[in-house]
Amino acid sequence: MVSVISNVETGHDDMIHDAQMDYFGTRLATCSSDRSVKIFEVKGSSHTLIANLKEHEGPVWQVAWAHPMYGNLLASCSYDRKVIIWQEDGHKWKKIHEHSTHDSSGETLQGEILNSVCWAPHEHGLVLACASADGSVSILTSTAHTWEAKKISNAHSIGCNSVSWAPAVASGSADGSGRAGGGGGASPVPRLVTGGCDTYVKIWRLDGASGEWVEESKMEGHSDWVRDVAWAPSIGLPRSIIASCSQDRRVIIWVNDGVTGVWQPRELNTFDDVIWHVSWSVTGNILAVSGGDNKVSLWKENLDGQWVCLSDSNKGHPPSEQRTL
Amino acid sequence: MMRTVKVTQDVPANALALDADDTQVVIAGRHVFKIFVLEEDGFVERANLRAGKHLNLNFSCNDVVWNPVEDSVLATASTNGAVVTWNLNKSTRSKLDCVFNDHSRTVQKVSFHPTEAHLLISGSLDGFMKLFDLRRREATQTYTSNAESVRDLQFNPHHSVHFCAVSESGNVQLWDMRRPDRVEKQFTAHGGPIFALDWHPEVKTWIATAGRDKTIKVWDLNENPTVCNTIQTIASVGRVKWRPNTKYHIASSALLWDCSINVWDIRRPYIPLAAFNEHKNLTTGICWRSDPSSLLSVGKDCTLIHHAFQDASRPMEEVNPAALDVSVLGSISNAARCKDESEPVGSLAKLMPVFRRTASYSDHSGPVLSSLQLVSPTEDGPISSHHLVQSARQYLLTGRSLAEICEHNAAVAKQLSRHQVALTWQMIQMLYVGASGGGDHPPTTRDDPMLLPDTNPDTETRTARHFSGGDGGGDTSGGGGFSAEECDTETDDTDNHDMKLTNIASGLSINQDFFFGDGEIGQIPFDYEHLNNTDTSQDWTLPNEAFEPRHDILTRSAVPPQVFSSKCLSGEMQDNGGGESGRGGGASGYVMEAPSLLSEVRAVRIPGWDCGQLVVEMLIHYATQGDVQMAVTCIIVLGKKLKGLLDADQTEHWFLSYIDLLQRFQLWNVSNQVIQLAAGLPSVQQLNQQSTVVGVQCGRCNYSLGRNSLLCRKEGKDVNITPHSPSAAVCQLVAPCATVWCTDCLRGVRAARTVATCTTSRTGWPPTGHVRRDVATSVNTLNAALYGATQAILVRSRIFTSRPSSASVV
Repeated sequence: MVSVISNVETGHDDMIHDAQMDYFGTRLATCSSDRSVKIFEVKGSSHTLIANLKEHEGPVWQVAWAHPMYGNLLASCSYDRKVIIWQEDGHKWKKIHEHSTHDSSGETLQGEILNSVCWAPHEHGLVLACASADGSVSILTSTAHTWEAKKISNAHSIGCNSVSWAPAVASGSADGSGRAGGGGGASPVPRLVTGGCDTYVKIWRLDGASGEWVEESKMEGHSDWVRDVAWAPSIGLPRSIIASCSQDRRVIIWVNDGVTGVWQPRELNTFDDVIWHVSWSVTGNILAVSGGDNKVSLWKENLDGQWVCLSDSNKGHPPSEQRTL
Repeated sequence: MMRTVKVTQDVPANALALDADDTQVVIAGRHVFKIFVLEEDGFVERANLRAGKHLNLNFSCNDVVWNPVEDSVLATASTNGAVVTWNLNKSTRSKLDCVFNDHSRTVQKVSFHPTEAHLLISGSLDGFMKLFDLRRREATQTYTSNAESVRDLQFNPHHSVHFCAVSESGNVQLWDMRRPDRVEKQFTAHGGPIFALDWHPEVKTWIATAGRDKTIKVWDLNENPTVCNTIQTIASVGRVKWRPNTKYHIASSALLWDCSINVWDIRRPYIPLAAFNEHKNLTTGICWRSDPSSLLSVGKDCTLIHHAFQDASRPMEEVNPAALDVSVLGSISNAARCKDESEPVGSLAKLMPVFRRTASYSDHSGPVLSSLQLVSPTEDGPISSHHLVQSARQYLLTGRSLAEICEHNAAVAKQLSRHQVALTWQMIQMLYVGASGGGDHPPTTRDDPMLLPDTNPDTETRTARHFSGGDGGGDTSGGGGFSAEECDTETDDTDNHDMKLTNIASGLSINQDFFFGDGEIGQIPFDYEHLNNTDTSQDWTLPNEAFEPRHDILTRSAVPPQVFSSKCLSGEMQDNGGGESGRGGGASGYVMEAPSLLSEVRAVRIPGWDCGQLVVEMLIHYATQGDVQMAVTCIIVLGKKLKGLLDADQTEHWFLSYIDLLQRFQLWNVSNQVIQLAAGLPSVQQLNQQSTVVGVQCGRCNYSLGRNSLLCRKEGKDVNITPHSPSAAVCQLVAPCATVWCTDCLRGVRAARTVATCTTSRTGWPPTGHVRRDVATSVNTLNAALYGATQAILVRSRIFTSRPSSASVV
């Protein structure tokens, strides 16, 4: 695979922590330690800056695009304990909501640094999950004119690093109730996966009866901080796949076949360096992995159920050993 | 080395100070004034200075300092404006030595002269600074800051006749203490009040200032003071202290919100190098011991804490240095830290991960920049969307005969070098229509809803197993076809009689497992007329022996004879046999020469077995491989023929996934066609209706409107707002019809333009912009939408409401 690489002149003054393409793949949002969020229009190999959003007061860790049926919305989370939701209005981007974890009445900041944001599948409405460094996960739901926050306290001890939603049609729950539609339009059960500093990957389900989030699975496998989790888009067979990566330099693929309800871990690979990100392709069958060694590799499951490396980015040297475990 | 320890009081302290040799610490507040000795494993209270008969406001301290020369002398700044000195050597219970009531308002800060033990300066909110001579027990000089409240002041440790003061107006003043008549230098440092100041202990011309504007600034006090560095913090800064023995590190604590103490590298102005998070409430005072790994602090949580630097959290090291995303178009955005050349690379880095880690961030000088790369996929790359988009654009879904559709789609796939997909289309054509000449057949062939719906389950499962097993060797991702060798090997090593899809496709050469043997022929009322008139030209012979081993199976597969009767067209024998004879050639030739394959199997007819299950298995296979397009397209094309074989939930899932994909690629027309063709999937078809009612937002104030209300309540309620200009019709009036446009699909534009004209002319808003997913789908089905329950359409942020009755739709 010979790929065209273009360098984006972001103009960020410090390290870039996240870069996300929107639903249509035409816009790129980046965020940086320099407290700014930038939005680029990407066309082929050209890119133009269309917005430079500076309202955060600390390094911005992550950005997330909402489904476009809710308009052009971008959420960003920051070291300043805030989540800001931005909306494009005409050609201008502006802040439409700010969620702080700190107590607005008191002068002290009770909340914690927000590490990760992720929008729910649009079927659940306009819902945003935020993972915070104190280990809690906040779920913000847009109601008529306001945002309601619900909290999973102490989802992970020490801290929660990443959150990702299950696709709305995902199955593979322990009780099989995750199947969408069911022909009768039963709405899918919202689920999310979180990865934390306690080395666990956990799955949470919104309990329909109580309206509370309950822990559904607690998956052990990593031996260090889990840095990123990504629930694969679900098309095809009724099984759910989650990728998680960790400071322990490993990537684990968790597969739930939807019948037994058990999450089977499979180690993708042990890399040379800390793995910071995992990201699925839209069809959910290719996993991109990016590590601290500035390399990106693509992985695909072959027909024997083995994950094989398709390619490495041209940035680094190919890994000396690509063990497939 | 001392660990992180804390001692809790009943009341909070405002300030703390260390004695000259760092063994004792004094904390002072409104209701506390104590001295602790720093022991190896904690604090030991040595004295409570809040003693005596008259605990007046002189004991209420804002600041405390320890005389750097005389170990027994302390000074405090009181909230009532008094400056008080204390002598620990006094024999009385109260150690109060001297009270100076020279200030009229709260004294914020006191500072001892670094070397002259009897000199003390104070800064007060009354706008004056006073120099006290402790020997003469009086204020000897007064410096005025032009009625600006002084928040902090400090002697220059390097040139001690000078001191620096900062004020609430944002000014920094440099004074020569011998010249109270005029300020030596003055400049505006911050946009708001400055709360803190600290001279650099080593670099003689540097001071750090910090204030309400949430920044810490490092100034070089040359002839013209200049900012060297600006650190952005998240809250008003209350205290700053340089970290000893490290040129670039400074600790800060906040006045608001942030309870933690941050240590910054001034060259990395956005992320703290280290953070001490022990305080549960705001930190009021910080102080380094002369050791850079040892920090003392007091806070509103009533604690005095000794922080060991190794226990601090390291935000800079924990941050994510890489970004990664795979876009829908298959491009990968990846940001990574620009490598520092000094970092160990290659084998050294691999061998010594620990070394590399310490060398990475914390000791890195200056901001760490990232480079962001966009990797666009090549057309044949594994995550390229090229195939999907092109196929979606060019595939035929309906409108022609099945044979034509299959042929067309196969050609499309072939053109895109997707040989396997092309073969699949050809196979479907053969399975359901027959060979390329499908058009010649009576329509009953194609319209036959299901061949052999109740065929032998044994056969069915076998078929399914064979198929799914057979594709084990296929590389679907590569998009390449099977080579002849692959086929051969596959066939050869199939001890479980695995067969490739393509084997089946290549003329149904399924001589091992499928059987139209003579034993069966006897039972079937077979039309020998047809048999003869099509196949006399072909020079093949059917070796009867070949079928004999399967006789026992035949008897088991009690196919009801009537099923095979009239509806089964002739040619089964020929098909079977044709495949048999053509197998040798087909295996070698069908990949490169699909037309020749077709000609070879020209006589192929609908198989006499139920291929529906096989096709379903194939669709599942494709979907599993991420090619949901194939699955959905086949289902649409085959329509009723797969009825009853598909799992409704799964089909719906595929449709929804595919529609989502199409919408991501902004293929609105295709997506709508798919929605419309989703027969038997009401929840999919409903998408048209659902997506039209998205929500209404006031185009002026972005206030979301209720589903039934077309008035913007927010603006309406606001009495201060004068009636809007004409464009405010959106806010105040009910717009008469919908404005919808779509630059992507002509049909949508046409339909919408009619509607759009009247609204835009009313409101004067040009219909610029592009309709995204939700609206576009509604546009395409505007008829349904407008006459449905639709009331509102969201067009990005510019919203107009629709009244179906008044809209005229073309």
